[in-house]
Amino acid sequence: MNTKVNIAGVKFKNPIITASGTFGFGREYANFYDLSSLGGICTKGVTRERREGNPPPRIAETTKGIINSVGLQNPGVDAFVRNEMPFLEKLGTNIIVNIAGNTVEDYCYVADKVSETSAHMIELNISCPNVKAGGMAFGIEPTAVEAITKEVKKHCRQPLIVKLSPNVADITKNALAAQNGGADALSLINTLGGMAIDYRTRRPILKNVFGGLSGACVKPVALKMVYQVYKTVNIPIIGLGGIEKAEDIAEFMIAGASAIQIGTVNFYNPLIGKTLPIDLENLMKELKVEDINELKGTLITD
Amino acid sequence: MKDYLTTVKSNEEINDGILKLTLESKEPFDLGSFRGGQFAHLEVPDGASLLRRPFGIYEITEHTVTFLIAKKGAGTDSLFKAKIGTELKVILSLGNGFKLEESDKRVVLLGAGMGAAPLYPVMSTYPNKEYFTFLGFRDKTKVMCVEDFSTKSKTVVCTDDGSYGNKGFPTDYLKAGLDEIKPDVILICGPHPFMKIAQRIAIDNGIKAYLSTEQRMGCGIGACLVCSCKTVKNGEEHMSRVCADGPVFDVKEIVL
Ligand SMILES: Cc1cc2nc3c(=O)[nH]c(=O)nc-3n(C[C@H](O)[C@H](O)[C@H](O)COP(=O)(O)OP(=O)(O)OC[C@H]3O[C@@H](n4cnc5c(N)ncnc54)[C@H](O)[C@@H]3O)c2cc1C
Ligand SMILES: Cc1cc2nc3c(=O)[nH]c(=O)nc-3n(C[C@H](O)[C@H](O)[C@H](O)COP(=O)(O)O)c2cc1C
Ligand code: FES
Repeated sequence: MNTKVNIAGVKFKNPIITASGTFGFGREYANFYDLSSLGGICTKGVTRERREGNPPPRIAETTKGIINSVGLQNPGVDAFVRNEMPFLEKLGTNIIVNIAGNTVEDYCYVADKVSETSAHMIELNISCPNVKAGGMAFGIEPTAVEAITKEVKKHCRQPLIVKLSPNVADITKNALAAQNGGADALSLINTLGGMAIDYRTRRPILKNVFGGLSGACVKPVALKMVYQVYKTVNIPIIGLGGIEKAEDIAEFMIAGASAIQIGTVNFYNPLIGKTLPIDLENLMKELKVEDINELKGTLITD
Repeated sequence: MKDYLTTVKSNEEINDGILKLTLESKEPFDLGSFRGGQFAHLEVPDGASLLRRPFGIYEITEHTVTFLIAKKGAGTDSLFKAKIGTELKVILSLGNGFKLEESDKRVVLLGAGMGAAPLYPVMSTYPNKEYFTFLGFRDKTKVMCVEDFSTKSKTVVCTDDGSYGNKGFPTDYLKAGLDEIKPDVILICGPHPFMKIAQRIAIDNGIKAYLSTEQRMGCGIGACLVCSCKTVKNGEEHMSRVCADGPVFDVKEIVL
């Protein structure tokens, strides 16, 4: 049986990658299981300078989902490279570094630094709803997506993944823009804009008022977007949004994903990265699928 | 820290809206590093909610762990209704807990409401200290754990309305007793306004003190950064994780 997948020339032992911001830099979950069971780890968003993120409370719960407003709290790229990369590179799994910034120059600076490390891929986060970059995130207008992809790509030694926001007019336009800008792969979706209100106090639950919705409840939205983007671009897609179990992985791959990421599920099931690869193999047996890649883009619509 | 599969051994409403929940685990808990003030991240029955819920550990033995839980919303409500034998996963022991030095001989435990719960196991973690406990509750229907504390420490209980014990706030009784007790350290847990007053008392009197804070959590283990609170070290402000850097902080370092 084969669970190996290939994303832009990078080989993954299985299609399961932990999603940015939900897995820190791997240390905490390494207390629970051997992280070499994972196809890869995508780090928390790393910026040029150290950031403290948004004021608390930063999380609210909703039906089958959560809304977060962490922002980009991280130690800055220099501390990341010095303190976190040596740990990450010993884990026996692929490392994807998620990078973010306020200006194109910031992104390029971070990409330069990450390029010098042993990271396998770089994921460009232009879709974080929790930071304000001159009022408008880079991930909204297709022209801006293409421009920043083109610039950052010049600074990446590793293949570049562009992570797309679902909070846009037409995600296929942004996907094409990223492809035109030179993206080697796409990942989608980031969180959906949302908010939560305490009706008793008539106050927002998040100090930031707005946050990003993730978890099982977003899966149908993510599936649709993965499918639409798959029909539009010819670079590999990493699908995510609400994945909890092996069946979800199969659905994302059928919609067109080459690999997937798991985010919110880690919070309530800390061992998911250990059990999911096994569950996936069992599901493949049940489906009589010899090679996981056989599932990719096989949606039947007639 | 580890994720244990447990079953509900007993759940008894010991008081108005307060549940004493004991879980049993076949696999022995790792007690070696347990310290009073640490917490557990507990699954909620029937998929009532996605996220787990953090609760201070009240008592822990090799195969059982006990919590005191106040009814708040859907998650705690479903714990009140959990039947004996219900399977629940629980991650423990989390957070730093209260750390006492050899030189901390006279220890004040200052708790209000549910804040009493995480203070109690401190006396088991550090048995050879002299303890002075001040507990405050809204009224007699909310009073809990008095007997447990009384067997291990000199205990003053008060209620806001005087319907049980002394009338007034535990912070006032502590203030009045400070000269006599001369504590080396004060350990604090309770609602936010109470902790602000307690923090002030400790700082104004130059007494070393730690408090256990709360924040909404995601992972509970330090990975997601949703539980951050503001702390100050060497004059510089930082965000710290309540779940991993706390929940216990030095009163001089936490911004309440
Ligand atoms: C370290 C720590 C120790 C705690 N120890 C105890 C204890 O020993 N006994 C006890 O009764 N309670 C304790 N709490 C508070 C307890 O976690 C909340 O009352 C509980 O999560 C409420 O859940 P709910 O679904 O009933 O309420 P809801 O209000 O419906 O919960 C909605 C969301 O907000 C979160 N939330 C709500 N209130 C709090 C709070 N005060 N702190 C953190 N998250 C909150 C919930 O976890 C959930 O994610 C502790 C909290 C922390 C952080
Ligand atoms: C607490 C939290 C923090 C996140 N931080 C980041 C981040 O730093 N960079 C990023 O690209 N995405 C971030 N995300 C988005 C996730 O990587 C993912 O796109 C989203 O949660 C959807 O997947 P899920 O439903 O499996 O969680 C974060 C999500 C959560 C819940
Ligand atoms: S709850 Fe995730 S870091 Fe504290």
